[in-house]
Amino acid sequence: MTSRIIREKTLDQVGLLFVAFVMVSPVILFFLWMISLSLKYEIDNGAYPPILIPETFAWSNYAKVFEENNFLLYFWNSVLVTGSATLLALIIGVPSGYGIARLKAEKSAVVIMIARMTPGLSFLIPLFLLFQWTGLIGTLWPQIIIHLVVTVPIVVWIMIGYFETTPMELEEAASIDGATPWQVFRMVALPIAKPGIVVSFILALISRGTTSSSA
Amino acid sequence: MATVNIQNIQKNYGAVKVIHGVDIDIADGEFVVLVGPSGCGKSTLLRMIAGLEEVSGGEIRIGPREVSHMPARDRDIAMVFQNYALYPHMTVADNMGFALKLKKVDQSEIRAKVGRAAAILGLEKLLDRYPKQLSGGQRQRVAMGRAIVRDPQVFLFDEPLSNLDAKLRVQMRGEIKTMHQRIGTTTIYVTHDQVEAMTMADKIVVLHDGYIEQIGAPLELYDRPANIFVAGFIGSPAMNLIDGRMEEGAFRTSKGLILPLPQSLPADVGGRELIYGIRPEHIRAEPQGIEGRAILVEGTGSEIFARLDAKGEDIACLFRERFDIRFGDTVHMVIDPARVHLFDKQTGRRL
Repeated sequence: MTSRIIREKTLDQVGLLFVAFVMVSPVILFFLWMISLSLKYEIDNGAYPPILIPETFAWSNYAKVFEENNFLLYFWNSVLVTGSATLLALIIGVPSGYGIARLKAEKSAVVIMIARMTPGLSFLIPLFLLFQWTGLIGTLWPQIIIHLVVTVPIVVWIMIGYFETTPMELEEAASIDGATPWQVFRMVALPIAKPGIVVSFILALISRGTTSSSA
Repeated sequence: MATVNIQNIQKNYGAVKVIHGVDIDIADGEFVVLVGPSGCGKSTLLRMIAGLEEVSGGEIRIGPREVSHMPARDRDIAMVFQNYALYPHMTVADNMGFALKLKKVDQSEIRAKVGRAAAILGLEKLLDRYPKQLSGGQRQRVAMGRAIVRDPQVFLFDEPLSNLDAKLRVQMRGEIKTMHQRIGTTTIYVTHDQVEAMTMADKIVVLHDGYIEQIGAPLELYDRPANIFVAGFIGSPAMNLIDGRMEEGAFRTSKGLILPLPQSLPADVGGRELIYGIRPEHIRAEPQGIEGRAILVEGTGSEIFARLDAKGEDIACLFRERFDIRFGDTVHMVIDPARVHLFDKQTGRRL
């Protein structure tokens, strides 16, 4: 009896692993192919049948990346822009989401949504002029600010949804316990909303890639 | 500890009035239960005392302080919510010590106070757990512990036992009462369950549609309900309320059944439309009584609840002695005239 249950359980697990493998395999294959490409000489790239592991590794490809352009600087700039845009979006977006959810200020949420829906290109010229006047051209700030146009609405909207589902009683209990509104937010609402914050962090991070065109 | 005075408190949401000028005086250390059917305004009233709901008019005093428009955090009260409202990201100990932490009380003192409250409630072994690892009854205790640790002037309870199963509810009812007797803090307790109200309260406030129907000690409400609403609400099973008039020294129901009246009656009852009230437990089964046919029989072992059809009147009876009745049997019932309540049908008031 028990052995049958164990057998069924292992079968379940094997099945689950198989399904997971099938679903993830395209991603893994794609990644492996990228590594393979980076290690091949140009002649092998278009070879038929395709070569996964080349006979001689083209390590020089990597050296070339660093030789021909300032790869490390660009990489660091990317990290800086993405990091600060996402972080700023969280700092602005999480409290705004909380405020909108608690004050039931749906109208301001719609305004934020409209900013998100407007084609990014329509911002480009006004923002360019603005950055020119403020002398920010040539720094990383314009990039960061442009990303905020996209990331802030994402964070705000996810957080509104999240804060609306957290029970009001918890915050009422905290205010009866003697917490100021700011303490209620920091010590009760914020820790409970952690999963929501993680989700909006990830989505804000991903969304960066789609807006780099305007940089 | 403190008295609580509520004077002419009103609440409206826009044009809709939900509480129409309520006055309640609560003595220091008293256990007051606000009871009424859902939508009667009892929770709203409690939330106004807590400072979670704006007061539209009137005045609330806790001790000498006027608190009507004071934020909840400054009122020095503690509240236990229906769904416990424990902070899910904090351990039991942190939940109980949260208010003290906000007051910047010393860590060691917080630990001592939490320990003392945990000992009262038997929570010592659970202090490091998180709320989601606790059962319903344990969560309820933690919520009470959080209130005790504060040592507030007033305890507020908002239907704290509704989420527990029947057996646990009876047990926790006893524990809350014991805790009150031990600590003696003024307590305001909201419930829709009149059994909870009767068993726990020093004083019951019966609310209905935003008005107070009656304030009094539990037995006072049971023995002398001020109106038809209280008569029907307090007591389980509910009082029989039968339409009729007085005729030739007896009560004649609208369907023609003759029922006995108490010896002394107010002079002006004749001719008026009346409501005749008799509690099921004040009806005995005796051979010389009024004849009725059993249309429902429920035995619990300690008592028998029966509905009898007497000339078309449906009368609920609760018999303490054990005898064999079945559906359709004829039962003779005797009503104790001294325990009859008479109400004016028009005003609903007691006569």
